[in-house]
Amino acid sequence: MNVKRLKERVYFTLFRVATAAVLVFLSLMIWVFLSNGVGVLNWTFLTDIPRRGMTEGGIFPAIVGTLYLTLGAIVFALPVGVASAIYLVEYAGEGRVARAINAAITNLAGVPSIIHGLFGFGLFVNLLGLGTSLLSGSLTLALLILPLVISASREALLSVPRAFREGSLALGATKWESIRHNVLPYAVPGILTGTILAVARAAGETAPIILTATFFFRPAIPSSLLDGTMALATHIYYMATQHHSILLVRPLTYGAVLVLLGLVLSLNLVAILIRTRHRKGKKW
Amino acid sequence: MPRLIDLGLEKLTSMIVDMAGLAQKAVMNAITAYQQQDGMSSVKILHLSEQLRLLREETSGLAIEILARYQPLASDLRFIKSCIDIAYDLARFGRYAYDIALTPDWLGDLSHCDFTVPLEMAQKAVAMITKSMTAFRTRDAALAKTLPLDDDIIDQEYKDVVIRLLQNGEIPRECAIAVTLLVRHIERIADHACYIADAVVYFVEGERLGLH
Amino acid sequence: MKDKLEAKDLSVSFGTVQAVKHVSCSLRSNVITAIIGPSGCGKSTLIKSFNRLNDLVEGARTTGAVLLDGEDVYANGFNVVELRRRVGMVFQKPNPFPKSIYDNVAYGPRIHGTKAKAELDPIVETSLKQAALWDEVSDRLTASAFDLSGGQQQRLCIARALAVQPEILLMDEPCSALDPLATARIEQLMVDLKREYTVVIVTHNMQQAARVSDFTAFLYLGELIEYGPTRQVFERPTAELTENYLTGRFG
Repeated sequence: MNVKRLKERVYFTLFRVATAAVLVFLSLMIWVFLSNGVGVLNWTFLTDIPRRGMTEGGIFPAIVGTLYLTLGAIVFALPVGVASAIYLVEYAGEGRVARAINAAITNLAGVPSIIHGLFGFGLFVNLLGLGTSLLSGSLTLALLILPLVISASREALLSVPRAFREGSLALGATKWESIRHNVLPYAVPGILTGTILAVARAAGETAPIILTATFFFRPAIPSSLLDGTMALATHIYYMATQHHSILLVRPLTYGAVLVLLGLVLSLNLVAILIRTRHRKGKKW
Repeated sequence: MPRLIDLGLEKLTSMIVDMAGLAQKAVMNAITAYQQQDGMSSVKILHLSEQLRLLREETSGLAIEILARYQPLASDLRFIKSCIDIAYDLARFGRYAYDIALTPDWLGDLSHCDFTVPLEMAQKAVAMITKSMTAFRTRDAALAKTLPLDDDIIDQEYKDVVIRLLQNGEIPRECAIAVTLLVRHIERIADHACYIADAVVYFVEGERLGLH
Repeated sequence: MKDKLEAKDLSVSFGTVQAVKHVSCSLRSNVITAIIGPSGCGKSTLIKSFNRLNDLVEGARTTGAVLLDGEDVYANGFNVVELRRRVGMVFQKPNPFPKSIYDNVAYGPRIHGTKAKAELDPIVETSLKQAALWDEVSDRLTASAFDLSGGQQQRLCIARALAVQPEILLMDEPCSALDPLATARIEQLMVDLKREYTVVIVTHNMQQAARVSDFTAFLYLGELIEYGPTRQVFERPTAELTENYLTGRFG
């Protein structure tokens, strides 16, 4: 075998090893979670409140809290995000102002989530007096995922060929009519995909909500926007670090981990499914 | 960088130039035949005339091929049109040369006739052919525009010769008729040299002289 | 024959680049006018100034006037949306919308207020017939426009433009993406269309301009070099630049 082929063999083997390493770690993680947590998964676990100092019972309030918070985040982030994306792509042009705005959004995406949490704490909890509440948490999460929604929407809008807009305008449609009838409908799948991925991200964030929305122990389901709540991500944190009997409740912690993982993974799966179906049906 | 069509145009030009050479040769030979009363010449001239006829068809054919292949426009298009017209005129020269050469054959003995004047006219007519072809080769519209003046001179001389023949009763009938036929052919040769000039002006400048 | 569209000292620039320089010419109604010239000489920019599609380009500045039936379309307050209905456009690359054939043709009328199916059906049929496409698609109007061949898609775009009943049809190199057979069909269509519409076609194919147009304008580096009846421009151009372009002595 000559030198070239040997080299190629070596490189390919290295690539395979790298991929295998990734798969190994992934599998290891999943095995650790499953083996430790699957034992506690049952209907009670999912529907009951924590009992006996959170050493028994379930995580229902945490599940509900996570759902409420992410829903709230989407309610604020989606309209604002899509509207901003439409403005940036269709109306803002390429000038210095537009580029500055885009730069700002990119930077916002890079802000560490703990800082989002601190900002939310300062603005929503204290300054606006909303306290530790669903509202504060949702708004903070909304700010966190806003750049993601804007980016995804921008890409989706930009992927619609320019010819569609030109063709529509040439027929005598106004700019907004063209966007509404001939651009937006074809950008929806992309926007949807991006949004779902943003939701999955929001569901897993700890730092923003720990400072603005969650409590260590609050079994009551929140009944108003100004109520605080439990949430899966923070519950896992508390159970793993703040509980008085960490080792005892470890299985419950892993159980919560599995639930959160399941939620996030299924959201990702839905997003991928939408994206794949959209790509297949795309004719331009 | 030469264009694809240039090859065809060069070939067309050289075919026209070749035809012109043959035409001039034919006309010169016809005139010599008159001077020397040489009966063999008519066969030679018929041969030349035939060649011209065939060359004319070939030239037209090449012109059409260039049109089909290259769809030329503007001056190229006008050039093709002119070449087609000029090829016809050059073929006519062969025909006239043959007619001239043939005349003694059927009119009988003309050795006693005086052909000085017609022969002078003939030289002028040949000079006109030469001039028109020079204008073609060098794309000289100004030169081409002088030909109608030469043609006017020949037209006038033609009329003068015929009228003098009418008035002069002493010249034998066969000579008078032979001279008349000869100058008639020469006048037509001069006309066609003018048409060639007109075609040259057309392809160089886009306008016609309006001679026909 | 009166003048349908007139450009008066029209100049268009994008930033520092001047694409169209002081062009003045009158286009007659019910004829086909071809605009020829080498690539990048401003032909597309020129016709896009007729329906003000250049307005979309950032940094585009237009000076001078474009008169449609005597009215300057660049005047303050001129209804641009109505302008684009009266002056339709077909693009170089066929750009059907990812909708059904029916919805493509009905798009324009719907935008302009015609919503009822009973009104739209005859409009769609007439437009498709005018574009010589009806026979091929009448049985599958709900099929996606993308199922059509390139030539059919372009005829669909023509039908779509005709559906809003324009007065002028601008065609920007409409056949350059099509094969010779499809091209021939569209050229035939153009000649039919000029009975009812005024057609302006931009083409880099001189033979196409020679085949279909009644008038030809030669544009070079943004300037109008020559404009006249096609027969005269192609047989005896007056400008040396035109002569050189037509005989292939430069780009």
